[in-house]
Amino acid sequence: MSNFKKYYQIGGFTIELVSELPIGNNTFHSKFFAFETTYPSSEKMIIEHRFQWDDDTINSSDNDPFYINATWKIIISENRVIYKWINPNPPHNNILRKAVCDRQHSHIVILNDNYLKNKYLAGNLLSLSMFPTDQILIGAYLAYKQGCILHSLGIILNNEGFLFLGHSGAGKSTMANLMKDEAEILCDDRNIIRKFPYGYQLYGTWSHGDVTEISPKSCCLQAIFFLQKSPINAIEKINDKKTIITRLLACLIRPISTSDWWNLSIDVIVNVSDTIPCFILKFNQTPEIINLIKNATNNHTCYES
Amino acid sequence: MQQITTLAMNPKDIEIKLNEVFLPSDKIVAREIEGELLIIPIGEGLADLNDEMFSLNGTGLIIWKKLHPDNDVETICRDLAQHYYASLDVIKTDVTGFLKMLIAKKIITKIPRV
Repeated sequence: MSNFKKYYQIGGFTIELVSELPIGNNTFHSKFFAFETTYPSSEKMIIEHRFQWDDDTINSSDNDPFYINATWKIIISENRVIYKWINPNPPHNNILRKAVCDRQHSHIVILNDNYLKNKYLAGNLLSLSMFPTDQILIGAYLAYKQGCILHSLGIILNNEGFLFLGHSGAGKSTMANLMKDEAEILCDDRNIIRKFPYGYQLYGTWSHGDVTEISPKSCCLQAIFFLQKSPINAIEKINDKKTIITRLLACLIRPISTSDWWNLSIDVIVNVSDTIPCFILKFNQTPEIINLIKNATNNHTCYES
Repeated sequence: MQQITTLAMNPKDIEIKLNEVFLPSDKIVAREIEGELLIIPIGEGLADLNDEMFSLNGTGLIIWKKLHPDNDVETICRDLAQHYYASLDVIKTDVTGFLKMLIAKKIITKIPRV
């Protein structure tokens, strides 16, 4: 069986997508086009799609699930993590998909059944992994790379990166629409940060919200704004570390919640609270907020503690 | 491997004996940040933004730091009574109430006395 490959650049690493079936221009949704690359970086996550279904292989390693819900069963051993997409009715057989990863999620082998094979062939897939979202795998991987995914709007303004954090309804997409003539939108719903010796790098993702503009670009992260709907527009520095950590944790995308994932992710969050200036952005959803942000960022009042 | 004891989830239904020993559950991650202990339950799901987090400070954090295989509830209470120059009976009521709350939230688990 021959393998087909494509490369996607996200979060400072390359996803090497390998499939037993051809990867056509329409196999994956057009939102992935901007992230395609022909120059893979040395840091790679490999996702392999296989379509040879073998019941014995699929049903092995079925003991002691770490986590089980209506559709997922997760089994964790010392060296690997197994995700099974299961029938919601007990005894949870009729597995549709089994994904086997190393603990760091750097190599994922996904076994898909005929139903998923037909979905693959139909194309327009919304995630590279064919999971409900790629965040599950990417979020797990990033913890081991001093990074995380945040529920946020990411922008590049004057060659500097800014994050606006908030849950659904906080105003991320509204802010993105207001800012898109002034700034490059990385993504209006999920963005990646990673720690490097020089500071934090900000990256967009393809997991967008209402605003479909996304970008694979990255930029040094200069400041974080926590969105807060308000009758007025104002920027207030947060000096309390616990407040920053609590707010960051509330917007941290949590894939599989193991203790090692949590410990690594908390290290990142605590370090962000120490090194990146954070602000409450009171925001009445009017365009006047743009000048306030531009003034703050132009004068670098954002980054001066 | 510590033994996890299944306990009732309503603190009022939980009974604690003074010779019992409790330890932090292996189903949580705890991190002390500026004098406050942040406690995160783990294994609760995938991409769930709504998992409940807890924090402890003050006396709660002092009790937490005394959770050790060598310390039964009685020992913890006596240490605290000395520390606060308080009545042992009052301390016992407060400590067991606090431990019941942690048990109900599955933050600590009872282990067999060595």
